[in-house]
Amino acid sequence: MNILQISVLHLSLTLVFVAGAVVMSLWNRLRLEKDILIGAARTAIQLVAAGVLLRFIFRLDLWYVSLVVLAVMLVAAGFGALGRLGVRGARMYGILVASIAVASSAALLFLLGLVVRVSPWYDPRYVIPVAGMVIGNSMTAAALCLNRFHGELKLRSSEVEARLALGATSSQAARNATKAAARAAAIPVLANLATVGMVQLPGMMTGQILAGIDPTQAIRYQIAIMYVLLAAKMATALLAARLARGLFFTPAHQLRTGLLDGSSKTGL
Amino acid sequence: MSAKDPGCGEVCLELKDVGLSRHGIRILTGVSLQVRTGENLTILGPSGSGKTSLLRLINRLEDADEGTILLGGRDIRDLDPVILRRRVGIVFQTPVMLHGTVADNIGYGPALAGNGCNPAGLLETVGLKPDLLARPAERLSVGQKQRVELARALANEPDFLLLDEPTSGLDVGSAERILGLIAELQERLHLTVVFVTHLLDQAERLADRVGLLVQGKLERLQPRDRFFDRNSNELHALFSEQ
Repeated sequence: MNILQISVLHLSLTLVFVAGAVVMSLWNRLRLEKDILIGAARTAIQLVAAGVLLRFIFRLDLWYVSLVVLAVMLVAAGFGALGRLGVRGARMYGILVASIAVASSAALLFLLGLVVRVSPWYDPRYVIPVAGMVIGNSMTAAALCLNRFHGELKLRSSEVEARLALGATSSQAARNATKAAARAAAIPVLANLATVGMVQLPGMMTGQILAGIDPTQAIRYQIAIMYVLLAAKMATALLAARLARGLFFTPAHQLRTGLLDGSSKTGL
Repeated sequence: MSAKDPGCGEVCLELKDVGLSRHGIRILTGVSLQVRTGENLTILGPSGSGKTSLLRLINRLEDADEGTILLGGRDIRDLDPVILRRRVGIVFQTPVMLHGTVADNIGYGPALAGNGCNPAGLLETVGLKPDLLARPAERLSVGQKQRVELARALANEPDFLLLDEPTSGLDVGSAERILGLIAELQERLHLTVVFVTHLLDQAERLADRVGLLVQGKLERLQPRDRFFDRNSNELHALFSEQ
């Protein structure tokens, strides 16, 4: 099957939609014109850069280049998640990167090694886009989970301390907060599992179909990735909550109340 | 271990030059005191004098910045904090109920340690009827919560009970009943109690010895009768606005 190519001239026609958004903003006095133009420009620049870079990386086809790209993704995911949290600092960043790295690597090794059976193992055409999806989703899960974990401990600090005072360990005292945090991270992916294919076709599957892949083959990829994302997100969340417990509690099972309300730092 | 005082219990808890700061603010300065087995040591102090912080240090919900706290002659930082907290029960100023029934609340501490308890008996001990056991704890009145919290602390069979203004938020009648209950329990269960309050009459009623805590400093620590005889004018001036 031939793939229909989009020329730059034809692509530029889509600027009509950007112009349409600007007009709607002006017409309704939304004052979003600047944001729309900057957002549109960033989309074009970032994706062109990513496209050029990916083409270069695919041509190089070197194992260590794939690994460097994964490392860069991981570092960026750590910062991406950190930016969404109320408690920051070097230790929190470490917790984010560690939980995303462990859960994503396990998921990627299983998916690419056993299910897709990529050969060679570092083939950037498979490893980079799939890793991007897994790491990106893990990043969201880690941020959702830790925001909720922090919020629960802060909201229920009296109850947590009451449990500690009765002889609970930090793990026992934080059990409800951990559960709430893990559920908060899992609920969006569960909602996705329930509606996928009914409301919208997922991006990866759509891309494969547009690229000429048989839809029955494309759905196999999609099912595999959805299952992997489910486990990767839950593992990231539980791991992040487990590691964050070491941040919010002292080794003597004391709740760091100063850290919860932001009056002390998490620094190393 | 400190020496045994004639006519009194053995010293079982000792604070030596204990100091605490939070976010650069001095909370406690050079607090030294001894608590003897079976006594009620009442810490009397105006609001914000550091009374609650003092109890939190003894229970190790936080650690002192300076000084040492000895329990049975051993620095509490050398003890397993989980075991320590089972030995030193605390009742908070505002009762905090755990999610679940009254029975879940009372049984929480013993269940953590793998022990059983008698929730109905404990509920009766604090003057409540066992038919409350199945009720969601969060729906109780403040007075009932205060009693359940007391029963929950007693369920761990502690040697010590730290009571942080346990009658705050209660009407006069309920407060009176809680105070009577504390006195009765202390005698019946031979508990050692550290009781903090900002109310002179409660200290006068329950204490064997009274310590006066003002702005984080223990101004004096005396047997109850001597404390109130010698300082009555000063005390009434200090607590008149409470």
